[in-house]
Amino acid sequence: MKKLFGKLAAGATVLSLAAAAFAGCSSTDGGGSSSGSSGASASGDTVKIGLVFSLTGSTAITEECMVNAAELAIDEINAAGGIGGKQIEYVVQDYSSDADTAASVVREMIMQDGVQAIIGPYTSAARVAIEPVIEEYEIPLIYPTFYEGETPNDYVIYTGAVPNQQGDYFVPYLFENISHNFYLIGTDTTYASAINEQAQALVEELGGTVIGNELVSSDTTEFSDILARIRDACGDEGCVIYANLNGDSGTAFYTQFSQAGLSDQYTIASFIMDESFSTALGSAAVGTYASVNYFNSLDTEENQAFLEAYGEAYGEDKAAAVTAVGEASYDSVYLLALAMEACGDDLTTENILANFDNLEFDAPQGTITVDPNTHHIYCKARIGQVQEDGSIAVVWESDDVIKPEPVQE
Amino acid sequence: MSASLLGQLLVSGVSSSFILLLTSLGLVIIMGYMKVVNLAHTEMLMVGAYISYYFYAVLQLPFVVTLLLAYAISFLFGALVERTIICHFYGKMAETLLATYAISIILKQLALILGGLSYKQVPYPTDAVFYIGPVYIESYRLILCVISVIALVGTLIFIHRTTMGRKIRATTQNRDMTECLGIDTRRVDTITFSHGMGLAGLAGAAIAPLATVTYTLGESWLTNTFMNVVMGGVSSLAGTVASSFIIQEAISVISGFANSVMAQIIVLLVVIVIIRIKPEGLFTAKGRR
Repeated sequence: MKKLFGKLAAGATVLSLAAAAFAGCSSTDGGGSSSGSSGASASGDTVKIGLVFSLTGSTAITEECMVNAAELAIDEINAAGGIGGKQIEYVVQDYSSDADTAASVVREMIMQDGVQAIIGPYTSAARVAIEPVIEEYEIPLIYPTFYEGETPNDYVIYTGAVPNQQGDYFVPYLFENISHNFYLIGTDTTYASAINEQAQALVEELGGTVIGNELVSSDTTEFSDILARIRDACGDEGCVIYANLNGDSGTAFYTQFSQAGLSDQYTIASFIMDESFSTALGSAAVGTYASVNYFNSLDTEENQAFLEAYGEAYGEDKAAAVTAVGEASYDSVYLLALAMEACGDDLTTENILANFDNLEFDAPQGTITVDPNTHHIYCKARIGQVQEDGSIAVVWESDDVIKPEPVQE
Repeated sequence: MSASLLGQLLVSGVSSSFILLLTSLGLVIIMGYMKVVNLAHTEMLMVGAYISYYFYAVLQLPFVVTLLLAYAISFLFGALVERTIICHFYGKMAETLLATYAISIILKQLALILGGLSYKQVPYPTDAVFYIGPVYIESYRLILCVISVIALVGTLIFIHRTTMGRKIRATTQNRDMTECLGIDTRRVDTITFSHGMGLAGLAGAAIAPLATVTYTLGESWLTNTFMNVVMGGVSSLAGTVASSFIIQEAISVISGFANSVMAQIIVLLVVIVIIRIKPEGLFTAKGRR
C-alpha cells in the first residue's frame, strides 16, 4: 500500500505536467471566421484586434456572451464599411479561466498575430496578469467587466462599472428598502473580497449591522452549514444576504437557500446575479436583487436593436441571457473602432489611447462617455429585481450618469 | 453557540455525510476491489447530473426511473471503458491514472460541446421542509440519505450475498487461484468496474438538483470524494462510511465556531495527520492482498 501512494504521487506529478501542457494548447484560433485576407499586414487595408476570453474553464458560461457580443459588433462595423474603410480582422484566444494562460496567450497574440489592440478578459486575476504584458509591448487593452477598481493602468480602457457606480448605491438601497442587517458572503477572489470589504464599511457607516462576513473557496457547492448559521444569526429579523458567489458555487447557493425555505425571510442581493443566472435558476432566483449598469430588460432603442441582432446571430434564448459584461464587450468594440477611426492613417497606440478621452457612444445601456482622467466610463447605476420569467426588471436607476472613481479614498 | 444551532449543524452534517458517502461509493469500490484510481469518477458524477437533466427535467420521466437510467447508462459506459481501455492496464497504477484522467478530460469536453455553455437546472423532486423544534431539514436531503443507504446496502448485499459478489471478493484476494477454479475474472473485473461507474452516475443524478448542472460540476467534488476515500482506507466500505461522517460532521460543527473555510482547513490537517499515522486509512480491510 505504501508503494501505491508513492506511485500515486508520481502519477499526480505526471498529470499536473500533462494538465499544464494541455492548457497551453487548448487555445483556439477563431481567426478563421474573420474576414479579410490573413496575409494583410498591420499597415495595410485591415486593422487587427485580439479577443481574449474563456471558451473553456469555469467562467466560460459567463464569457460566452462576451465573445459573441464582441464578434457581433465587429461584424456590424465591417458590414458598415469598417474603420475608416479598413476591415477589422480578429483572433480569438481562449484563456480557460486561468490567469497565467491569459498572459501567455496575450503575448502570443501580440507577437505572432500582430494585434493592435486587445479586448478582454473577464476575471480580475486575468486582467492583472495581462497588464505587465501589454505594458511591455505597449498595446491597448479594453477591459469590459465591472470590477473592484484599481489605480488606472495607462494602457487599459475600462468599460465596466466600478464600485462607486454600483455598491455605493446598492447597499443604501437595500438598507432602506429591505433590512438593516447584512450577511456578507463571497467567493474567495480578488473581486468578491474587495466588494464585501467595501460593503462592510458602507453598512457600518449607515448604522446597519454586519451579522456575518465570510469567503468560501470557489469549489464550494455544499452550503448547509452556512445556511444554518445564517438562520441562527439572523433569527426572525429580516436580513440582506449579500452573496457574491461565482459560477457553480453561486447557483448552488441560490437553489439550496430557496430549498431550505430561507427566501421567505431573507433576501439575497448580489453583483454576480445576471441574466445568465436568473434565466437558468427558475424560482430560486425570483425576488432577489442585482446591481449593475446594464440589464437585458432596458427599454432603449439601441438595446432593442442590439438584442435583436444578437438573437438573429445566436438564437433568441441566448439573447435573453445577454448580461452586462456582454453589453460592455459590445460597447468596447465600438469605442475602440471610434478611437481607431479618429487616428486616421496614424494608427499608433499613443493616438488610440488619446482618442478615448471624452469619447462618447450611444450604447444599449444609454450614452456612455470615457473619462479622460481615469479611462473608465461615465454610466448610470441600476438596481434590478429578478422576475418570475427570469428577466431582471430595473427597480431603481440613477438620474444621471455617474463619474467613475476607480480608486476609493 | 446556541443549542439550536448546534442541533441544526449536526442534522445538516448528517445529511451532508450521506451525500458525501453517496458520491464516494463508486470510487471506493473501484479503488478497493480493483486497485484502480478512477480519476474519471467525478466526471461520471457530472455525466449522471446531465442524465438527470435530460431525462427528468427535459423528458419529465419519473425521478426514480431517471435514477435507474443514470445507473444503467453509467454501468454500460463503465463496461465499454473497462473492456476497451482499463483492462489493458491492470496492475499498472500510473497508466490507469493517466488513462482515467484522459477519460475525464474527454467526458468534460464532450459535455461542454454537446451540452453547450449554459446553466441547466434540475428541479427538486420535493420542496417540503420538515421542522423538529427549531431544527429543519429539507425533504430532498432526507431522500438523498435514503438513496445513499439503498446504494450502500445494495452494494453490500451484492458483494457479500451473491455468487457474483463472492467471485469479486475471491478475485480481489487471489486472482490466480480464482482463475484456476474456472472463474472468468475478466468478466468479474468488468462487472466490478461497471458497478462503480454506475454508482457514480446514480449519485450524480441524485445530487443534480442541489446546484445547477454544468460541465464543471465534477471539479467541486474531486477533493472531497478522494479525501474521503483515502481517509477511510481505500479498500474499506466501512471506512468510507465512517470517514464520510467524521469529515462532514466535523466541517459542519467546526464551522459553527469559526467559518466554513477554517473548518475545511482544520479537517484537512486532521486528515493529513491521520494518514501519516495510519497510511492505509482509518479502517483496513482484513484479508490477504
